[in-house]
Amino acid sequence: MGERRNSGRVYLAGALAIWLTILSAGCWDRWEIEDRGFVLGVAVDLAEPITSTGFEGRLDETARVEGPAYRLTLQLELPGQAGGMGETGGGQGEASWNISTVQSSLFAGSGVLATRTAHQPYFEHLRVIIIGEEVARQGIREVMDFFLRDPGVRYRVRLYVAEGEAREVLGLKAKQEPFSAVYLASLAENERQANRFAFRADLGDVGRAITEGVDMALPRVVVGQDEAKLAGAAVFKGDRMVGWLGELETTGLRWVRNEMTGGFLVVNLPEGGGLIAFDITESRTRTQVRLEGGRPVFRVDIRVEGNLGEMQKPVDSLDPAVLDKVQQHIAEAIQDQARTAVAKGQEFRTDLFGFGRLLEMRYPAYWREVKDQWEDIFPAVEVQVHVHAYIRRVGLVR
Amino acid sequence: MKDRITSLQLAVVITSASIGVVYISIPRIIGEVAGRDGWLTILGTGGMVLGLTWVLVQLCLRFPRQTATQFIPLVAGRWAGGLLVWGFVLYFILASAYIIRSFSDAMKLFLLPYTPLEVVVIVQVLTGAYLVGHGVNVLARSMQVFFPLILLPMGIILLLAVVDFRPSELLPVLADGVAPVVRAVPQAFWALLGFEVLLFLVAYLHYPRRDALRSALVGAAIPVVLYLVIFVITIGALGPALSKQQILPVIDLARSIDIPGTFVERLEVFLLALWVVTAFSSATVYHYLAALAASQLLALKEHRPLVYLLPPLIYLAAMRPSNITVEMAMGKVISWLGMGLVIGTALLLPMAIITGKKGTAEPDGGQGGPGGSNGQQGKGVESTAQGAGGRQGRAADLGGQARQEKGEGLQGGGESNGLIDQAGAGRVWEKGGMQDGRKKE
Repeated sequence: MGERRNSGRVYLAGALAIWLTILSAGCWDRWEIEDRGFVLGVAVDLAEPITSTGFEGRLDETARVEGPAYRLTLQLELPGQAGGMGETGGGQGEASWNISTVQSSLFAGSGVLATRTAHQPYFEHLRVIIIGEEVARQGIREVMDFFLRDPGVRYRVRLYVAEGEAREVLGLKAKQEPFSAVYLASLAENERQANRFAFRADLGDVGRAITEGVDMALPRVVVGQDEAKLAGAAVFKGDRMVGWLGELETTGLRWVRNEMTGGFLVVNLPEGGGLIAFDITESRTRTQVRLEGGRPVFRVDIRVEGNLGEMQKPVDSLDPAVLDKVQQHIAEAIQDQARTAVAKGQEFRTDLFGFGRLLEMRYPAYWREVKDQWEDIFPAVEVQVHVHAYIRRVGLVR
Repeated sequence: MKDRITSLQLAVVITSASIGVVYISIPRIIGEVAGRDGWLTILGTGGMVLGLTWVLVQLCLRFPRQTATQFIPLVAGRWAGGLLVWGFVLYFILASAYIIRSFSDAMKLFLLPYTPLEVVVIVQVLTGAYLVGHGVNVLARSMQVFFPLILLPMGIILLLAVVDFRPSELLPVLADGVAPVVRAVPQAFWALLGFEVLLFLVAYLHYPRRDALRSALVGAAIPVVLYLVIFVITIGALGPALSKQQILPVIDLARSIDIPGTFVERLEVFLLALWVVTAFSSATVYHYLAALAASQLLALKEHRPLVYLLPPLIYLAAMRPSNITVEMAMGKVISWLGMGLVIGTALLLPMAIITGKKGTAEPDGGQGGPGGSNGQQGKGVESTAQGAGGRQGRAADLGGQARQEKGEGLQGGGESNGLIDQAGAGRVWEKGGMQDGRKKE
């Protein structure tokens, strides 16, 4: 009896061995790294609406669906050309390849591009998405869905709006980086030195803003021959771009939104006091709302600390009276910037400042009444800006 | 001796059964009804669940060494009780299937796009069957080993997500009144289901009267706390609108983590990898309970044959939904079933108190197993004793391989084991079972 059981055991072991061989040997999802076409950047532009659906016979056009169309440009890494950082530099040949197609659906676009690339596009290392101005003005919800739905795309991908064509931005030859997408993505990381572009907005933030239907600002990117510049912001009402904020207006927006991360502020002191530059080290903004006679009044308190970065006229910076005066002027300048930004937001009828949300938090009942007309109420609300600026250090010169 | 679990293991098994797959989507499940006030729902429902846990433990303690399969018919009568227990069996099978299916779908989406769903499901069901075949002891110990793997990555991700957490997202509180909070209670209850496994497991505790209540409450409270933290942090980091919109909001929470200046990214992969463990744990517990309850109902000597008969059923149930919406509807039906069963069973406590129905065995110490030495389970006692004896006889035949001494059978350790148990004072590893078997042979 024991032997019979043993033989049964042998059969079982055999069956198990076969089963394991089948299961562990094959892998349906094998996708070797060298077979992946790493996409580093994506540019989306508006294209002519598609009217004919047949085969076009041209490289960048193919069978497709009628309707409004996008030109999708992918920046693919060219393996072997990039040259490891330690190696003698990938001087020879291009490191990346921008390939583009016109499709109504971005998913189809990425699929169609797979007919022209050796390696299937792989989005997990995507660093930056650049939206063309025309697409932005038409609304970005349609475009963003593909990126939000794909589980491979990271939420930390940066989003910029290009003045003009997005693919031109992606097409620049960056000096410092082999890939323009990587170069572009790192630009936004210099927030501590510069405050003149819209604060960080990544795919996650944009997905959230679109879902919540709140207004937002995305950095504007302006392109040159071999460089690009982040300057100002594209203002979105919901998912639709309605206009641009200039660089200083964007600085103002940062003040109000408590997104001041650093950078500088230049003030021309009156009465021939000369120019001073204020190096912002710390800033905190608190916004409060109260109802006065049934109308909301917002109060923005900005408290900023920093150092004297530059003072062109020889004034004794250790004189408390002088320092006081300079602080005053800095505060006024900041107040001015913040007010300009608010005025601009009100002009665009876009609540970039989260005032509506603040009202909802503080006065939920009132908010329920006005939320549908907020777009009409917001442009006329009273916003008070109070600034306290402190110069903590003056540098090495008196 | 075999077939005993420690108080810690009971708590761990309850938690594992409960968190299963839902914790990944808890902000959506509750947020879509209660909005940003969902944490109040979780808190309130958590209180209810702990209350029900207390009731169910009291019920179990009235019938020492008996599982729900055995005592429910005693209280509710043969027909109604039988129906209730069969309901539990059905519920356990469906719950196991649902967990495996919804988890496999996510796996397919994130990690295994080209692997057939069938394969993902079969591998899990069969692995689960293998584990379950070794009985409650091995199952409980596995859960104990897995447990840190469940909480640790979740804890790390929540900790990292605190960077993005804005408490103001939770304001205003109760802006829409209490109605949405109350309407979300069923959702929260479904998410917290899992504590009902104690009905079948208290009987296996070493010292039920001492440990059962504490362990069960701890086991039921961990998910409440976990869900609360997950909900609050996800809402605070992603906002209520996105939390409602995303199918797996906690994955999105992990997806959005970015520690400035480091390479810490794509943490959702860790979460997914360890989600394997939680989903597997939960599905396995239900698989085991289905086999246990059914085998006791059918007065089988041991649960193993059923363990290997269930996988086809679980597989079929798991493959039944044609898409994610059907799958979610299935989840809803299962949850209603589970809710009905739990509340129905809880109502048996007052019934038992009124009619004075009670088990007779000594509650604590090493005496007998479920269906053991109390007189009311005449038939069961016979069969379990034989079952244990017969199997251990085989063990002796095969030269007493150590593996078999642990006793795969759940029901093992019946009356006959009592002899040895008295000597061994209910310690876990007793070789006694083998001698016992030899004697029978």
